Amino acid sequence: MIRRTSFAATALVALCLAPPLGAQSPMASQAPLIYPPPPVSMTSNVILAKDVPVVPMAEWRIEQKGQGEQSGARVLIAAGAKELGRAPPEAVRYESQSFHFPSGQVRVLRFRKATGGVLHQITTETQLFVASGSAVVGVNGTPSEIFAGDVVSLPSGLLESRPGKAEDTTVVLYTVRNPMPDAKAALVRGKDLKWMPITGDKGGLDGTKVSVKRHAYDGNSIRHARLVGKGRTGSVTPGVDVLIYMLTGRMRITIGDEVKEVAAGDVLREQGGKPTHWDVLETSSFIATDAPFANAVPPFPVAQKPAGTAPVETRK
Amino acid sequence: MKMTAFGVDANGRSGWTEVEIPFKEISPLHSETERQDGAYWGISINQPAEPIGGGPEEMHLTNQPRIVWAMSGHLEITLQSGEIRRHATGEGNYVHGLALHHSSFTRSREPVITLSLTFPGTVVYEFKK
Repeated sequence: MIRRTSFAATALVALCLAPPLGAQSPMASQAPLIYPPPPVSMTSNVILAKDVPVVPMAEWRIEQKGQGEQSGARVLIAAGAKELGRAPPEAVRYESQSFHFPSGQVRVLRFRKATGGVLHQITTETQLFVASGSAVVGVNGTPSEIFAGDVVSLPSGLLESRPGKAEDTTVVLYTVRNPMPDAKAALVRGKDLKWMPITGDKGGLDGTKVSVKRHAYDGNSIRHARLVGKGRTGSVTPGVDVLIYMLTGRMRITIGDEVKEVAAGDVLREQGGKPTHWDVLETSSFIATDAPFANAVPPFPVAQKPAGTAPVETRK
Repeated sequence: MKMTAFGVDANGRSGWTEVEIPFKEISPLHSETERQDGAYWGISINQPAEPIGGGPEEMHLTNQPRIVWAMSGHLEITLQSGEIRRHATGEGNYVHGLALHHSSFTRSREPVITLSLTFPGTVVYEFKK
């Protein structure tokens, strides 16, 4: 926590490291990172759930009165076993898994009614899918009830239990780039969509049937796919990365030269430009979204100087 | 004078913007604003590390409008738009009271000292012209 003291006091007092009452230990600022940094490059497009640490989390509301770095009503977060010690008894406790890809991130949060229900401060997450249970989250700043199968694009505010109706809830949160300027937040309800069969060369082959619910909104969509029958799908080459979370079942994915078996809870990337197909080992389902990558294109021609070095006009 | 700033977009999410601070030229080499209302000054020292609990994905809000200047080192700020900006020594930033942000000092090679001026109110401060 940034520690502040009154500037009216002496400089010595101002530079004092002692935290104000209620602040955390000065040692907290020395704590190591809990999460590994996102990988610079990947040797596989598949991240198995068993290889990703399950981080115990807690979030709770406080109202800080008086002056300070932060004041008023807000939510505090603790991540990892060491930090949970500072969480008060009323904190909502849950489990988090984070899957990092060069083009985006997938977080899976598992809340339990027995550990306080749902509470999560939405941060950089851009898309939310309710895998099970229910909650309330901001859509265009308005708290809205969401249920299993619903999708929210550009959520805001707090994700929390429905008043008086806390239940076990799992949400999948994507952080991906939205290429549409001024994209509007949206709630797309799963119950309002129909399962659309995918047929032809890109659909199910050899006895497999593929159907999709397409949750579409400004700039992107989440596709909820269901695959039935032990066959395969046609080969598809996505134009951009697609990040996929396996909801149920077990399949074998072929991405270019890579072949991996995946099951519920695993996350993978269909890499843009690589032909991809599925072999269905049992009835399965997943959600998928585009993760368009800016690809580090500089905002100025490489051969020229950045705008910041342009000559400065002088006053006449 | 324009200053980089936190904003909140129509979706209720924080992103980078600018505020106009209305200076008037007093002389060719000096400008001033009108008298403004201030609440208090603050100064802080932060070691080069993640500053608070919750991990690097934590975000928080201040519920108070303020300007924060980096006096030494530099800080890295992430907003809900996903855009990350670094503020180096001497740079200032206007903080919207309801803008969620994550401040990190892990990239600084020296302790980060910031000086802040907090304004009255809980969301934004309207500069007097």
